Amino acid sequence: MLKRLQFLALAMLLPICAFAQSGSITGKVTDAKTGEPLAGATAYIQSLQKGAQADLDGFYTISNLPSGSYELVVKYIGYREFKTTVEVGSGTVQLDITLDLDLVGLEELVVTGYGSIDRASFTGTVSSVAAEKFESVPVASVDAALQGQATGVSISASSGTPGSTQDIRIRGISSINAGTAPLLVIDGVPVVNGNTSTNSATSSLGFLSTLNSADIENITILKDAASTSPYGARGTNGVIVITTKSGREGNTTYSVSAQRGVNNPAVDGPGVLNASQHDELYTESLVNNPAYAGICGTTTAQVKANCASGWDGVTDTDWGEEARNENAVQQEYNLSARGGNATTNFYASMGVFNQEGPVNGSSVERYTGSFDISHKLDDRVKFSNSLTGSFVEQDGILEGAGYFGSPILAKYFMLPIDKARNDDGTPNITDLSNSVFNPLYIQENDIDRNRTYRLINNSSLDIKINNNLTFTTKYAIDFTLAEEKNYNNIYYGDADDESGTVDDYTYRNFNYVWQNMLNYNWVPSSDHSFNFKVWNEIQKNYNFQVGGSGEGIATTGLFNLNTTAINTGWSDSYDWAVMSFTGLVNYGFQDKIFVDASVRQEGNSRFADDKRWGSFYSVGVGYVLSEEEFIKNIDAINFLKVRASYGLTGNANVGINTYQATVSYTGAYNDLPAISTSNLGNKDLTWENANSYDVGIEFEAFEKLNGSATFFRKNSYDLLFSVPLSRTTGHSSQTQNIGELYNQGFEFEANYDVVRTRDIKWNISGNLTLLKNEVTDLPVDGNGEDIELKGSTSYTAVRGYEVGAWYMRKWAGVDPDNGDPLWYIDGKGGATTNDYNAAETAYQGGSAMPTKFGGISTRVDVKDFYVSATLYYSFGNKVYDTWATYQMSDGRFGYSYGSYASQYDRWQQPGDDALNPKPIYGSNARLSTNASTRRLYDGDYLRLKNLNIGYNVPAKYLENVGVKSATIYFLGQNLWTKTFDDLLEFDPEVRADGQLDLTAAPIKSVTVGIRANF
Amino acid sequence: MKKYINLLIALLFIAGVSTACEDYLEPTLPDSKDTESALGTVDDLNAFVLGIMDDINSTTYMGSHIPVALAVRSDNFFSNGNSGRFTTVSQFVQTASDGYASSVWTISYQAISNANVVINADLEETDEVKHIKGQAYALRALIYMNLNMFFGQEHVGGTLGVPVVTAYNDGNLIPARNTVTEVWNQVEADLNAAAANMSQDAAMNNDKTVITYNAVKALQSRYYLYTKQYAKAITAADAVIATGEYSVPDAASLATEWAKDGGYVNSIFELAYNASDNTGNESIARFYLDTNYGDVELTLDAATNLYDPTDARLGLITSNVHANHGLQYRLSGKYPDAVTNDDNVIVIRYEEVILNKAEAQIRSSVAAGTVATTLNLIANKRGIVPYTAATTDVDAVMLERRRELIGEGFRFFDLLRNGEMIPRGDAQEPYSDALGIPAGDTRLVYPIPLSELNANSSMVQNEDYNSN
Repeated sequence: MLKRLQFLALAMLLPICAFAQSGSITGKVTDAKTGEPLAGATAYIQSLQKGAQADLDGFYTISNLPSGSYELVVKYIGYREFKTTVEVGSGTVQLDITLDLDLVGLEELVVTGYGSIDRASFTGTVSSVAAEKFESVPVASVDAALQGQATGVSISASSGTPGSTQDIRIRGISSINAGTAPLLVIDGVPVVNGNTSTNSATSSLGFLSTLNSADIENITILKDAASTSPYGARGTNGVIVITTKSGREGNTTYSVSAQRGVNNPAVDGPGVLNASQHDELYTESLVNNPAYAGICGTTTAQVKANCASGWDGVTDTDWGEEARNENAVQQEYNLSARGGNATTNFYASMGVFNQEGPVNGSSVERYTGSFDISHKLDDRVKFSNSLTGSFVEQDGILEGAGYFGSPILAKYFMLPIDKARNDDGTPNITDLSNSVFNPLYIQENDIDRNRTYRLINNSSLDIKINNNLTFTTKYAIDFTLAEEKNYNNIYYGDADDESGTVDDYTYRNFNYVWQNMLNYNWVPSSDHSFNFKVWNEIQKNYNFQVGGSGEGIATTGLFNLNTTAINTGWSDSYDWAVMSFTGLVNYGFQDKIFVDASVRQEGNSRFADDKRWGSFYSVGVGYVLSEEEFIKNIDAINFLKVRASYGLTGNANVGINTYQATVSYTGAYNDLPAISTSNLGNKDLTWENANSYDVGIEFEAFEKLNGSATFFRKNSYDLLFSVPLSRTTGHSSQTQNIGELYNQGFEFEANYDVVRTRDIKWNISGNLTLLKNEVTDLPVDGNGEDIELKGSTSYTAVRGYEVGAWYMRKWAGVDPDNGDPLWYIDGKGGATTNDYNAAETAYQGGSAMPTKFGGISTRVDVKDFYVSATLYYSFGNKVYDTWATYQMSDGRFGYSYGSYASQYDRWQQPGDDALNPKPIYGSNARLSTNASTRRLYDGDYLRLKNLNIGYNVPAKYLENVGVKSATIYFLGQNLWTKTFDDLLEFDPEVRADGQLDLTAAPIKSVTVGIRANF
Repeated sequence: MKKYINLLIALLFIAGVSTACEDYLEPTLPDSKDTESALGTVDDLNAFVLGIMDDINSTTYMGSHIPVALAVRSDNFFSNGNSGRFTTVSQFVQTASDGYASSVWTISYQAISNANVVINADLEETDEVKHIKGQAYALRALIYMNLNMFFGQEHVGGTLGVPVVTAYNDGNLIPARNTVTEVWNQVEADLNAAAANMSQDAAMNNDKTVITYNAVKALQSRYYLYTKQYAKAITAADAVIATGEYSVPDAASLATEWAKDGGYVNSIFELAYNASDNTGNESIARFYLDTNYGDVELTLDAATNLYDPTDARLGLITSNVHANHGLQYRLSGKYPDAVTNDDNVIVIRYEEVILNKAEAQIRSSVAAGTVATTLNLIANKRGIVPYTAATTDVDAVMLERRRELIGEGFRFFDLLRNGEMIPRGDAQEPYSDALGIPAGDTRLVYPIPLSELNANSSMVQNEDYNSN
């Protein structure tokens, strides 16, 4: 009715308009506090669909306005919206506008993927990361830039090789055997995530490395039940929502950016013995072993004469240096255009990224292009489509375990007494003391390459059925084609005996999502408002792989299976599907009280027919106390909200087909097909569930300080537990819904504007996450005993301990009397023994998961210069040196592999207070090098994650060359790292399982770059 | 009106999708089938037996790890740790989490579960079905025999063997260890069942890559010898010898016979390998030969003291000089293919049957002259001085056995079952005991794997090994 009146009024005005002279509104938009002009602010008259953008000095003009009374809305990102009514006559209305800073971003929209909602009225817990935090950070995978930026999110690189996957855990580990990785959502659609490489021996390549961070508008991390439950099971470990840039009404803006830099390992890692130290220990260890007395003699001189180490007295090779790519180059170039009019908006971009890794022969290259367009057919129907294509090529290395062809392994396993190169400069591959391959030759001649081609296309159609009811359908395709090639050269290394091997794999993964949603707004009175959404979503994933391996190649330069003498091939496929129906309601009362509630029915192909569907729900409540009079009167408090949410979420992330009892046909004997029992199956297998609680408070005070505090707890039960079976069943495990664990913790965020003037600004912000988890119930076997899941050094699940708690024998040092290794008998303290098998294993405090972590950031702006820095901290976990058996061998393997430099500090005579036991050649009885806390370190560290120094070139220098804005910057990443365990020499940032497993170390980099808009 | 049409479209979308629900969520089984429907025909049954063979010829089982582990634990070989493999086994320092122990254990029971499926299959008992079931009985016997020797406490002062499981998915998730004797009885019963079920037709005994009636007889000679039932061992051996199907290659053809890829004149049962098995670095040849990862060297004792200079078997041994490690001796003639790595691996051969008989004879006080005749079936073909009544005694029989079967995984158990120590064969043997590993030492058996202990609270660890 109201609208009809408006129309009538408008119609009556029309004849007048025809005669009236047009007027205009002009003025300056400035910051209310600092008086600084706000370039780019928009002034807009909705009723006329007419507006203007403020220029560099903050001036705007909207001209050609018919006389009348208009509502003018002025907006600027980070500021509260300003609305006023303006009477326009025939002249120019002068209207200067000051905008107030919006500290908590009350007007900020929280993107939840299925829509967006005002932060003030949102009842869930999310963390948003703005583009400026990651847009120029030189990492191949954008998630690597999120470290320290969001509470509750712990991120560690699985390897320093560019493009490698990141291990991300949101609010801890809430499942034991089902997946623990968060769901990734791009523009409202769940996409495939994880590792595109199927070869576990070579570097991983994350799906996320296919995204260009310059195309991303912002990243939101959804954490509690209220915000994740609309995603159902896939969101149970949290959701990372990435919103990409889309078109924007206004003149087309072109942006270019270019940067170039170099990188090196962030931490050098342990040193190794030099040649003379190696020779000394080699000789000493033989003198120390009476079994060799007959052959080698009993004095140093005799041993040197009879059983020399093979050192020529001159060679002293540092294999780490030899294999290292010092000052590896990285560069990135992006170009984008963004613009549109009232009906059609677009965004288009292209980007190139290239990064070499810290060891020779590792690198990643990425080419991306994207195009996003939206078009309004009329005021009811809007169609949009976005397409992103990318190509990523990674030159990887063998890493992550004891591969003799790995350049990472070479640093620690090769001997300093061997020459890296022959006199003619070619790599020495003939005169080496052990079987580790010279990485110089391998890196030059072998291939470990991953290529990923990916297309993501999102189409969506919005139909405004009436003012309150909207129908949206969205269809998204995520297609990935991946190619892997592993070639071992014909002369030297792993395939020397076969005269070369080739392994080729290719797979294609096709994933589609189709969503249909009805959205209904109902505002029964000015006090009450409702929004209802119902939607249905289906998702299906098809994967097909084909691969082959061959051996026997005639000559160099031939890398295909076609040129191998013997080859075999295989193919495989799998599929999975998810279907769901969801209903969601948001209710608001007077901007004071907000309630969100959702219910969801979800079906998953990973469970049997009758166990397939699960029901989940969530409810969240927010209460804006600052809207109440008794708080409104307190000047210091600008905003105060308490919120709470509760929900039941599910997890279906188990292997495909695990519920089915199967026999496998993949085996063969004598080239005849064979059948073998393969899976015991469990017809009763169904959803893992979790109850999530979340309580928080958000505030803004003194117009300078804002922050939030949140407590969360998640009780997971009916865990999808891979119950280990007695191997006598013919199987190693059966997945059952058994066991319970909880995760709980606190998250704190604070942001303080210390100084805020026109020329000088200084802001400090920080966040802290505290985490704890514990396994509270486990399955029991027929004898009534807990079925525990234990790795060789960590508890996967043992009642009363955290997931991944370290347990092993406790090292008690070296016996000063005789140089024997000592362990605590009970694994804790007190009495010691020199018999490894007489010592007990025990919990050693802590797991691989940090219990306290977060970031502290600051930014200082002085006129056109700015400096910002983020310090990341991570405490409370321990890391384990998986391969130190060899590098801390105390002579056990006859020094046939390299040793840590710390081995030099060894027991030599009674009374020595030495780090390492008496070295004895080939002596194994002591087992000094076996698993114990001798190899377990505190993983606590501080790291200067980012240091960014920039200069915004003043407009007056740019106007003449047609540039709107330009920034020149220097960015340092991981420049400084501080660890707290004196004995830990490795980089403490390791995979989520805490194992230092011969992967490339994280890198530090320095970059200079420029960004400009035209 | 238009808005109602829109609404209708929207509802249709949702309705259309939801009708196809159940099919939409049905996953495909690309490489497997439901267990219930998988075993319906004789061909299925036969493919299951090939499944057992696929387990047995795994490189981490009899394909290479078992012979290699037993070799490096004997006085014939040691692991130089070149590639870091077999060090714990060769050094006698295994712990419960040892990978070699867990792979033998795991694959054994995997194969047994396939054998149990075949043995208990509900198919009409035709001759063909009986023969196939007989094969499964025989293979199950072979596996239990190995398990009892690797994990059983017979020679280290205990009585425990391994759990005897005779049905697939029988509901007992935590079986306890049976005694050594009970395991041996199961082996005996299975071998007898195999012999009773299997066809003695020559046509059914031709293919050496599958288990045959003759192979069952050969295994009986081994079983009865190991359990000191000497008369039965001799009878079983004679049954094999009487077939006339097998012969001992002579001195001139010894090396070329071994160099063949399967179908050896002396083999009774062998594991087939083809290029498609892709054994690579885990192949038996790669361990024994001087390859990139060649970890296994002959001891000085075996290389220089064991054979007479005229012994043709010396031709199977070569030496090489390593750049830094000096002189190395290698068993190069038995598994010579380190390129395609597909040497067939013999499980039981004619010479072993003869030696089983000879040992059974000498230990059951058969006249030395008769034993010499048995031994000479081999000695005459090896270019060594034939045995006489005067030169034949227990030591001579055991020495001949050591010479003939070197590298095939016999020496270690031969010493063990006769209550002898494992003497140090080389200063480089990487364990600490100066003279060797004493008889009865608890290190002589493998630990029960941690994975089993963790999953099965009825399980008892072997002496002196940790359970955590």
